[in-house]
Amino acid sequence: MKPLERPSPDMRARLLAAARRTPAAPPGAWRRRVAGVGAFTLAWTLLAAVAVRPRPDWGELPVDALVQTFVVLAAIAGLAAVAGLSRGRSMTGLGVERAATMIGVGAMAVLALVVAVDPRGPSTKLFTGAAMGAHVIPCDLMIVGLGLPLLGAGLLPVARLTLSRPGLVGSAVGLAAATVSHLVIRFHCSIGGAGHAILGHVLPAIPLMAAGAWASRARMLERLGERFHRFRQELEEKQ
Amino acid sequence: MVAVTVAFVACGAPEGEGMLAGWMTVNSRPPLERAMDRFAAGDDAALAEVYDLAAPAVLTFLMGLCRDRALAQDLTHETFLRIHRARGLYHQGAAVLPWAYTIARRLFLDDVRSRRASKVVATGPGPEAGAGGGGDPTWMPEVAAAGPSPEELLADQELSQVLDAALQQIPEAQASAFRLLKGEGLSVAEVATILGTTKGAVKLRAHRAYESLRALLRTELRGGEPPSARDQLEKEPRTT
Repeated sequence: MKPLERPSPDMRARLLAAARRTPAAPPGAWRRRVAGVGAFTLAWTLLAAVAVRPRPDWGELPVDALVQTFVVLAAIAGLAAVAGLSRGRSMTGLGVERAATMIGVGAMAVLALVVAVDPRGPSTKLFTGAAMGAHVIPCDLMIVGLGLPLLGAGLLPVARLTLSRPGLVGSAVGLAAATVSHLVIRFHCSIGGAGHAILGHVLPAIPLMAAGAWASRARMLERLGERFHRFRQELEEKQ
Repeated sequence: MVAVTVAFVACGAPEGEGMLAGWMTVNSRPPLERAMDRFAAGDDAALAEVYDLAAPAVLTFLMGLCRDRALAQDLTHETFLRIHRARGLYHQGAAVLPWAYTIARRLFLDDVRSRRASKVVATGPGPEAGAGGGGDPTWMPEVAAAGPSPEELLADQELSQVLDAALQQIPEAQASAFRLLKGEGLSVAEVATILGTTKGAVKLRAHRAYESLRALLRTELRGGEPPSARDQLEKEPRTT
């Protein structure tokens, strides 16, 4: 359509000089970051599972329902993490169609799990009405509380990338964090019923996904990093 | 997430491939991607090569978006600095130019937003400046290759100016889809990745851009434009 513009030699020299002064992610940074997120997730999950204390009646629960529950939740968390942490063919994150499909499939699988498997699965005590509401809030708070550090860790690897859909990437990481927290809460919660499972275990995924989308769009981690860098520089200058 | 991490770390290892297959893959890749591979692997000198190969396309793309040479140069500089900062995150096999276009477009949109927020009057031309081929008098595209005749070059340049002026009058999303598809020759999938949307939406935006451009150019060229230029402009949208 149009002949190419040629950058001037000055522009080229300016860039090369600026690049020499600007710190860059070292080779292999991506692998290290993703491995770090995996290690942190594993450590956090184990620590949280111990901290919230597992329920005492594990031996009495139906094995098939337990297996289905944990396999489905782990698969959803994995799928959402792939959607969130994929760099795509053009280094700009997963495409909209694939990411939306993954998030949609994940959300549908969680709902299918709580409606079809839960009533005969790990949750045994049934509550309705106000009693259910009172028991929902602690689960909500625990899932959000456990998920926030995972969300922060999950967003770290993509912090320096320019993503074409940062909100979508953030919400996928939020779904992964919420599902891992959901898995941890399953070790602990003995309250049953689809109502409790949806309101107490699935609903907290929404604020975590929203927080992920917001943090990713607003480049919160990059800003925090820059602020921390400036603070450290000021501290060094004072000393 | 842990299993995913293991899969990611394992999948990213080109050493896992056969030596011959790896050699063939590396050597059949375009020079820009090969230079980027070396740069990502720690070869600082390869940045100059990446810049030489990609900067003209990025600068041209940005010139089309902002029509302000100084701003386009600044944004090109920032685009390559971002690529430099993220070099350790690059994975072998990724397309460099769509990545650079995405960064460039994001920087341009950020710049527009910050200007709007600080109520600074933009120095670029408004839509009314379109008829004259843009408000930046310094914007004279240099000729990269000495193939076509001077007459052809002049016709192309006139056509390019008229088209650029018309592109300023349609929404940015439509103009970007048009530029990337027709100007840069990218595939629909690549443009969808750069614009952060679906392939269907790209086709729709491009179609709307064609329609808008056709209407604008019909009005624009009704005066004294040579018929050949008009024919080219009329034909161009139908080629996709």
